[in-house]
Amino acid sequence: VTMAPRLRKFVLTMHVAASVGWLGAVVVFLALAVIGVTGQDAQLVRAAYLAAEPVTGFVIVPLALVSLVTGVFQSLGTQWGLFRHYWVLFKLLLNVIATIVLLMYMETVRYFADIAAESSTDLGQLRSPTFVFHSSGALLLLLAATVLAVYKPRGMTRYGRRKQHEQRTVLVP
Amino acid sequence: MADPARNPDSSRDNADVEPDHRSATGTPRWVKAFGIILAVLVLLFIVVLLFGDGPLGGHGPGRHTGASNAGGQDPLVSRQTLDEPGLLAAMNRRSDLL
Repeated sequence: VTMAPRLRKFVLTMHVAASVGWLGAVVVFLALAVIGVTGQDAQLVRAAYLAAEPVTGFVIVPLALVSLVTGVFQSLGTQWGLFRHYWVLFKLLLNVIATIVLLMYMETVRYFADIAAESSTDLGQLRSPTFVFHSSGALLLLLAATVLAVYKPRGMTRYGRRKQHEQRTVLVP
Repeated sequence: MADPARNPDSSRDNADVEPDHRSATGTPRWVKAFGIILAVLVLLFIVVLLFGDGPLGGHGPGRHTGASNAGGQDPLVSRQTLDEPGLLAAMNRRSDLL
């Protein structure tokens, strides 16, 4: 199924905007994580962990889901296909892995936000590298996906080669 | 239509729609390298899920914090240290502990 040019451009715009937004939001999360680990001002440290929850729930998760859905539509609606080219396949895998880990990690984000919200709890509990570790990993993963999207390195999967062969056979009987 | 001679990158103008089918044969080296890295990452993720001790098999709180950090107190960074402004106060407290 090939999308009409206008629809294709619209979905592509949505996909690029969501993906770039996701990358930017992860950078913001990383900044909050670094403040949480290294900050000396107790209120600032608490604020960083409290802000991390809405940033994740209202920005990162929606952008990740929009990026995933629009990416699937975009590939299925063009000749690239979803499983024909290695770069598309790898990008899909990176996106799926990142989204699954992100959704599972929401629990951890809520846990630390709850600790930060209670003024009686010791701030030593917030001195954890987990946010820095996860957001750095997410950043590397999203950068890898961006590189794949921009460079589109050559290479067709076995399925892609078979499909290509079938199309040629139909065109040239 | 754009003149290809005036646009050195014209072959990739429509890259989001039309693949370059010259890449049809063999498995490129980058695919093998990328595949190995991805497989290691997935394996690592599964190991963390299976042998972790947090919720959902271990990707919850405490996964990367160490046993003492998730629910306990960092001995070097007490609340009193954090409530004192500036790095100097924190360093003084650390030197006291040493």
